Amino acid sequence: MTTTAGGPPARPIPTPSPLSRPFWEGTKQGVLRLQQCTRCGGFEWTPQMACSRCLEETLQWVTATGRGSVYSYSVVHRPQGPAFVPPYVVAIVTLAEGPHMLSDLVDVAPEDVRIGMDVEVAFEDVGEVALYHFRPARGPATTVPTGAAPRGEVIP
Amino acid sequence: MSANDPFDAVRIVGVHTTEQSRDLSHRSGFSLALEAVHGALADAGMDVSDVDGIASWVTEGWPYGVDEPVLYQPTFWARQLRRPLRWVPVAWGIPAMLDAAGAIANGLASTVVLVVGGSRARPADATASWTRPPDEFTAWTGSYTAVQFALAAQRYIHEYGPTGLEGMAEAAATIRTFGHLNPDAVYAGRGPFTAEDVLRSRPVASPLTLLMCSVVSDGGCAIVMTHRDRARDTRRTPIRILGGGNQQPYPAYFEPPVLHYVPDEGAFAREGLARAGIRHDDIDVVEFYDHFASGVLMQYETYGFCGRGEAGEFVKSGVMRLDGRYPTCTDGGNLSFSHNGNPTLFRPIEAVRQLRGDVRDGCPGWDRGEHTHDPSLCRAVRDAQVAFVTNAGPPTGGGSFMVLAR
Repeated sequence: MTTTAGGPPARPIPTPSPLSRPFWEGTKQGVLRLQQCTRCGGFEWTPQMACSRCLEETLQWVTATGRGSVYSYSVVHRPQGPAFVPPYVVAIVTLAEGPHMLSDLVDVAPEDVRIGMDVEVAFEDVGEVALYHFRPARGPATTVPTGAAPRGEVIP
Repeated sequence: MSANDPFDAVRIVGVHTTEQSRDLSHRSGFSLALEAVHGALADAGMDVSDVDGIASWVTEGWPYGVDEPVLYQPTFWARQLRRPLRWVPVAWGIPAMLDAAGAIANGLASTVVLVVGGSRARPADATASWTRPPDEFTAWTGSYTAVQFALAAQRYIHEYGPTGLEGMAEAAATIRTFGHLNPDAVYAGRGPFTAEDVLRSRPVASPLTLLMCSVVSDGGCAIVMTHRDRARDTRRTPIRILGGGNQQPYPAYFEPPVLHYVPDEGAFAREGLARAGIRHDDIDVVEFYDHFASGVLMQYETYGFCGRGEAGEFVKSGVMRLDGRYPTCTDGGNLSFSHNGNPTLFRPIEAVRQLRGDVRDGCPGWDRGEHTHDPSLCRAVRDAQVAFVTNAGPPTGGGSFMVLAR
């Protein structure tokens, strides 16, 4: 985890691990990636070493739809630190593939957020990595996110 | 009570809490811990020559420039005490107490001290450091501990209705009113509080308001456990451990808090209570780990005091109050008594004090054990025999528990 020295405080920038590097390479390219088990087809989030159903090292990175719905959210008034300007919305998204993903919601007024609303991923390149926000879904799943591979396509 | 109680040979014989305050930054965590160790041993009528095991969570003040990991700290204590320690904990709080009880019962240790010293908790411009795990999938979102609990609380209210929020407000009001009555609490004398006060307080992370969240404070505390035979000539009423259990279903804060992650999250508690030979009906006082008011509701459900989704109504009916069926967090809890970075030992310490009848409050004769049981003055549970005590789990409930008895 790094923060920018000098100037206004930057939000904490994630540091990819060897395990998570394919995910962060994906966000940089504008795609949301998940691990999928080649044996049972189950998806994992967060990144894991082994499939949590088969308990085998059968996971491979695939491109996800980037779509989901809000499982829960919180409008944050007391910020984590000075890099965050309140109010902001932290959310858990139930991804179309099944796993729950912690993120934040953008392009929506806090008072308009509802549990169950459809959302899509929205990437923000912050230099070292690209962050993966979510915003209210704008179109049918097949067109969003732009440039994403079809669901389940294997990342070489 | 079960005939083959694995902890039958073990007694809790000493407890101590130092001053708890929003700011004790003129002292190190180690200084507070040392005072607590001496205090708890004096409470027991023992001294450091009795001790052959220490479980330690002390924020800073150590030599070698090393504060963490916690697993090093027993060796630092051994050097400080100039005596080898024969038992090294794998955790702290209730899991460490259960571990220590097993060690004492089986002869691996004779007398164990558990100690916490927390100081210099408050950064000027951010939430307390322990609320901000630097995880690559969590920190950038602006999440911190209160937000994680807020996410679980919001979903709980979505699934079970607005009585959930009302129950959270009532829980916080009851706990903070107990703290108001406790002269040793960080927020002594600040109440009493109503549910409306709680809902009107400053929003922190919806649906949680300021008064539903733990205090951030400094302070130390310690507990002494020993063998039943050694406990015979200690100073105070020895307290027994009837049973306990521990369930940690997923890495909290690294994974998003999703309700019902474990399909039957109360099974471990039902089994633990059955092993202890205890029914809920036997319980006189409850010391939940009240990190946030929402967690209190979920613990009533996890631990089987009421059914899933029923805790809002359950709490609103007044069960937590002094004149309710299960007086809960009777010292003011993490919300009002103290949260010193690791408040795990405060819960069993308050249970011990209730079981001993050693409760400081507004009653004129409290120091002689004489209590009015008037809820506007008193926080002592009448003739408490059995206490149910918990420590933290994830924001969705669970964790660890013990049943203590006099």
